[in-house]
Amino acid sequence: MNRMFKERLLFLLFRLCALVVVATLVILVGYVVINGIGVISWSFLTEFPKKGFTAGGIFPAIVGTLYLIALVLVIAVPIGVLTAVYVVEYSDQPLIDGERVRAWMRREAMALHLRANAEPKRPAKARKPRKRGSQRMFYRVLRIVITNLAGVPSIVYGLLGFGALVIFFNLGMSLIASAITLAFLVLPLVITASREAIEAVPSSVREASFALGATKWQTIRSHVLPYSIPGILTGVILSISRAAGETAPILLTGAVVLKQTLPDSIFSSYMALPYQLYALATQYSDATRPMQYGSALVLLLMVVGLNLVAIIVRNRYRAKYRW
Amino acid sequence: MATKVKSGPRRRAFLENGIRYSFAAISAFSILVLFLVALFLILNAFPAFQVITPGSFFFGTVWDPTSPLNPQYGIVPLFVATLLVTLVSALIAIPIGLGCTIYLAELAHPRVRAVMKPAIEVLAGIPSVVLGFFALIVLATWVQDIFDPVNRLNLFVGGAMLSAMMIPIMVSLSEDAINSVPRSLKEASYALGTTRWETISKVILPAARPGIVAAIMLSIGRAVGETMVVVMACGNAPHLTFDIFSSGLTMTAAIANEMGEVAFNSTHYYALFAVGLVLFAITFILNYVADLILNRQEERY
Amino acid sequence: MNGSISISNLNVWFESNHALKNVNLNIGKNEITAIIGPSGCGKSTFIRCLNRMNDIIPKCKVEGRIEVDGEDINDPRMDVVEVRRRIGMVFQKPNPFPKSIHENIAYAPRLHGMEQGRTDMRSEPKTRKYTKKEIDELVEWSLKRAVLWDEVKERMNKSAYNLSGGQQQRLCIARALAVKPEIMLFDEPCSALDPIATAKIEDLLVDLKKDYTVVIVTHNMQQAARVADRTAFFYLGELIEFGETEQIFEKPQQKLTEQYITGRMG
Repeated sequence: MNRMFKERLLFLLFRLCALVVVATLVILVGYVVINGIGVISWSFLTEFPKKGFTAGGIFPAIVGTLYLIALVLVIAVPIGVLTAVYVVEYSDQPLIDGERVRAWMRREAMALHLRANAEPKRPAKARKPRKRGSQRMFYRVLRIVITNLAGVPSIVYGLLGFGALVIFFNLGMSLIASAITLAFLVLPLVITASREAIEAVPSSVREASFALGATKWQTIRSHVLPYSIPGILTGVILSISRAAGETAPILLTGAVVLKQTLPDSIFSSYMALPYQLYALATQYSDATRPMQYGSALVLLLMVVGLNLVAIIVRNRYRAKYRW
Repeated sequence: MATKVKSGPRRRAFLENGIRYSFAAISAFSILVLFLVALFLILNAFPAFQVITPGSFFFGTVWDPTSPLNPQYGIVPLFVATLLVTLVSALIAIPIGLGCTIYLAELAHPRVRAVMKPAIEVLAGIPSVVLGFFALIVLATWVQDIFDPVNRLNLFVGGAMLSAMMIPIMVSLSEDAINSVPRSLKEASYALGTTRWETISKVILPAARPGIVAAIMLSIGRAVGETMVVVMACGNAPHLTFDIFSSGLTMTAAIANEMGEVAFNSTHYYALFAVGLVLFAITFILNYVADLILNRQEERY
Repeated sequence: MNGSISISNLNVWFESNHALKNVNLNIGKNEITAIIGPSGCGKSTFIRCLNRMNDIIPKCKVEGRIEVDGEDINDPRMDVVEVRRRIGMVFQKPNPFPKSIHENIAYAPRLHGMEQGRTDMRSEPKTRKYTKKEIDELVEWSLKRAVLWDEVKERMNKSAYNLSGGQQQRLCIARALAVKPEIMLFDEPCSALDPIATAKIEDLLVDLKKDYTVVIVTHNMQQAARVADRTAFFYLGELIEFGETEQIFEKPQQKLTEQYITGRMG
């Protein structure tokens, strides 16, 4: 009886933990929604801020964020997807599905009762471009890099963006400096999501294509990429949502609190929603509170909306391509 | 019908290799970025140590870079603040996160799971600035009412809000770890007549331990590197303190706050890069070790 | 058009494992040759050498001559794409593309184009694009040859995944036939299928040998006895015995062969 009692108590505790988590979400979102919903209106979304942020709207901040997103897409998506294709298709590592190949090789070895040091290694006849050890090294380094790029604190990205892009390359506090900084922030996300999508295509499909005489690139183009696109898309949407919500990188590279005009080129500074919220909340009086809540809500809706779209795309994709 | 004469296989090999090398070049670009990151940090941190002795940087207990007479660049106050905030956050997030994970992975009804998982993903997606905003306005007031702290904006508020960021990461990574424990182990345990909790605590959790440890390390890494929540909620007072209810300035907040007002190529400027380098090193190590642990686990099964 | 294969001194290594040792074998054209042997004896490795599918396994080294119509396909100057077009393969588990039935078959011919005059395998042949009508005819011909046409002609645009296992495998055969190979390789094509589907495919194989050289790997001795003209027995990476199927099964020359045939060995 004691065993069961202890278990029931613990399980209740775990249920409470889950409840706490959900409650946190509800409270957070609830607060912002309740206080912000009254502020949102068509004019709020389309006007410039007036009277020291106590009236008007956040139009330029919305536009700035949208410009940023567009630039980040243009930079991060090609690099990310192509890197993923390379990592999965062209490096010498067997795919996740290549577990099958490895297991099969192990079985063959066992069945042949061979010890690893029994047979002297013979030099292979050059029948195809030799895969040098350096290529394998390249792949290993690439994998470590991608994992660690994902862990770099966003403020460090901001720091670098500032020192390297704003100062050293003389881009100034600008959209482009922020966009490049953000692009590298989300690059690991794009790469990882694309990688998973590409690896999910079973190797039997690739084998069948090769056996029919297709080249590697033809196989990728006709069989791998088309079926990876939904997965890649999910990753891209998630990275947009991440980029839209980040403040630390843009704080040091181009976002400003107030600008009378919309940015006229990628080299100009700009207003952006996250920075708007931060600046108003920490540097302006409580009279701007309504605008703070409004900005928070718009940002939240944008980010959460994008995430939901990504989740829907992913779920529909999983249902459709059950290999 | 036009006859398409292709030249020999050399042309095809050329194209295929061309594509391969282009892809490789683009991937190499990604590696280049990380090395440039590290390099740039080092290059810009280095000049700081021509003026500040490493000893006074790493062990100095006063961070007062803007003092006109005697600027001091001791990182200890910043480091301690980061440590305390992370500690508070971890102490809240790890138990709750684990409890939530166990619930989700083993106890929840599939329909509940189908609702909770997206909910947690939404929580994970909330921008840190919104969380910082909430902490600044709402959470700080609650803490003030309950704990009567020395400062309204303090390390505890920051840590508590940070835990809301840590929890989703903990949950999703731990869940992966628990779900990758082979079903055969669970079934073997049940077949021996154990209760559910005994199976969880004695079979599943130990088997998932590497993954959970990695999850903890990665979430701590995230907490250490977080900026907006702490800069908005902790008060940003650069003194050395061990009282979590007083204001503090974390490493990330120092950079965020002071970089905007610093003169280029001044000692302060370089010192902030040095702080950035320390941050980078800490998170790099945490991520690297977590990655190692995860890879070793993959090979076990 | 010949279609005979002559294998001399074939050796294959996976890293340091010597998977195939000094295999010498002549496969006759318009015959069915079966490769049998216990698990892990190297049969799959062997057959995958014949169309250079082992190339895509990173740690694999192949040495030796494999001559098809007098040309060594292991020669570095060989166009592996052309090799694979002339030597088709059907795999153990049916692997149709996630496309429609029509598209599955049309994919490869469209890629290669229609040959105008066969040359050697070192260079690409002269080709021209198929017209839509020619593609449709080719698809129909392949499906009829693979005895699948009547079952799918009403749903050519539906996904190939809706077919049964046996039908999918016949689709894969049709797909391989569509590129007009000379040699067809089958790697345990029936091991994932039920007995009725298996019987249909065995009948198909016997029919195919009229126009193609067929090599089939099988772990099912009775299947080899049923369909093959000649049989090769492999054990631990070595070719132990090779000869007329009847002779192999009734009067095996090697002790190992006899042990395997009579079931005394795994």
